[in-house]
Amino acid sequence: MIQVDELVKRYRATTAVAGLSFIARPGRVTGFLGPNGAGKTTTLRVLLGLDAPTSGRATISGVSFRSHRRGLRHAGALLDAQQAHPGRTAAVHLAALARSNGLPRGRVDEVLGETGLTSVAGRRVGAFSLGMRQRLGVATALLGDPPVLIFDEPVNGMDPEGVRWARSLFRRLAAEGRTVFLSSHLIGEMAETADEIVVIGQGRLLAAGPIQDLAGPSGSLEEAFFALTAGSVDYRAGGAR
Amino acid sequence: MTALIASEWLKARSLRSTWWTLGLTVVVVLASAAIDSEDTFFPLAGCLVLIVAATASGASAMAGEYSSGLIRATAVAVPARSAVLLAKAAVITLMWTVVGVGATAGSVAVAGQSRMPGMPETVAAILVGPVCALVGLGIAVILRHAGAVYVTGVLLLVAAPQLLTGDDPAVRAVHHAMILPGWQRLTMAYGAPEAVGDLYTSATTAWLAFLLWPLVFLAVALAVHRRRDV
Repeated sequence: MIQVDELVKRYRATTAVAGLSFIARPGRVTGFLGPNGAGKTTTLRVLLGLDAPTSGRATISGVSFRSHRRGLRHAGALLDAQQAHPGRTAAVHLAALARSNGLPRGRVDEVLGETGLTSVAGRRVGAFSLGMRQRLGVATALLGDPPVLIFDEPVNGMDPEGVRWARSLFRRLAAEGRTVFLSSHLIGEMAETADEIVVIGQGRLLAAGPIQDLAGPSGSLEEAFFALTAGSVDYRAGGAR
Repeated sequence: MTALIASEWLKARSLRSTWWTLGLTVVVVLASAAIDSEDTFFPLAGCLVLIVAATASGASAMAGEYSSGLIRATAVAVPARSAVLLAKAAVITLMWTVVGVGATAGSVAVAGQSRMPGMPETVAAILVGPVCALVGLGIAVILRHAGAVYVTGVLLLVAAPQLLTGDDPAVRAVHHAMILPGWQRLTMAYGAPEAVGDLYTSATTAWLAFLLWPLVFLAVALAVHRRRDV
């Protein structure tokens, strides 16, 4: 379970998140949508204890993530593809993280297999394509077999086969009773994968609920998204509308 | 904590650059001792290379995490950030102490003098590596940007002691409180203290510099790293 309650995060003069509240439940894939700069990544960073909230609370399974001494058994995260040292192999990268959390060595091989990286486990991460790095990020997230999984733009750079694989993985993780929280700006992808949607704009909640309710009578999540975010797009090509 | 140290040791030993740095440092220190063995076991040239390499190596333990983005994965895996920093400190201290022992023993062997170095001389020659590596680690946590970290480390530990010379008592006091002058005093780089007067810092100040520089940088790094967004 992920709970965000009146969360505010300011970086000096910039307010990235401005009083955001929502819940993501176990057993569901919850999609996290919003235009660029809406505060999605900031919210995820606060949830995972990378950033301290200015005010309000963001908890995973009822506690703030920073209160854990070791994190991998409590939550797994893929924040972006750049979170491994290019000079290490995939296997060593995972082994070092597993070791820090006292996880058995076998978990590394399991998650490598699960993410289809077994054959390149001995290759250095610097030689990986973006899609392979994303898979390595997913492997990192799965390492501790955690009840809560957070993915930020996980299918960026994945080939169609990878996108399909990721989709079925997220569905399965939720079916196993885990909380799967998925940030993306690919609305079509979200419509295929998510049970629930949380839409934010300019750091505020715009809508939350089951995906069918949000899509409305037209059935188009994309149309619903544009209608919701019309007033809160910060960066738009072709000048202001 | 042992698991964290094992994890950081795995991170360090899995990078080729670690082994290149350690190996080349020992080679250069030994070469310098072999070439310039008239009246010292530990010529300045070798020590300067050791200081630069150790500082950069300690710094890269953290700068590499920031530049590659690994720091985010590390912080999610271990939300107790101070523990990670202490584990890194333990690993680089051990690594550079081993290098220090090897380089010092090797220097004595290749210098081929009839006398043996005294205890303070030997210990200072061994410890200057880990001391500088820890300062480098601290600088990396505080400044984060790799370029700024390396430049600051070299300016502070190598250039500053060369620049802060002269008769002004304040300048002299600062000079005497730095690591390289401390090393020069303890290894008697310019001969016996009686012969060179207050060019040298005192032995006590030298040992204090060896102790306090890493401690202060590590303490500031811990305070900063615990609070800051990563």
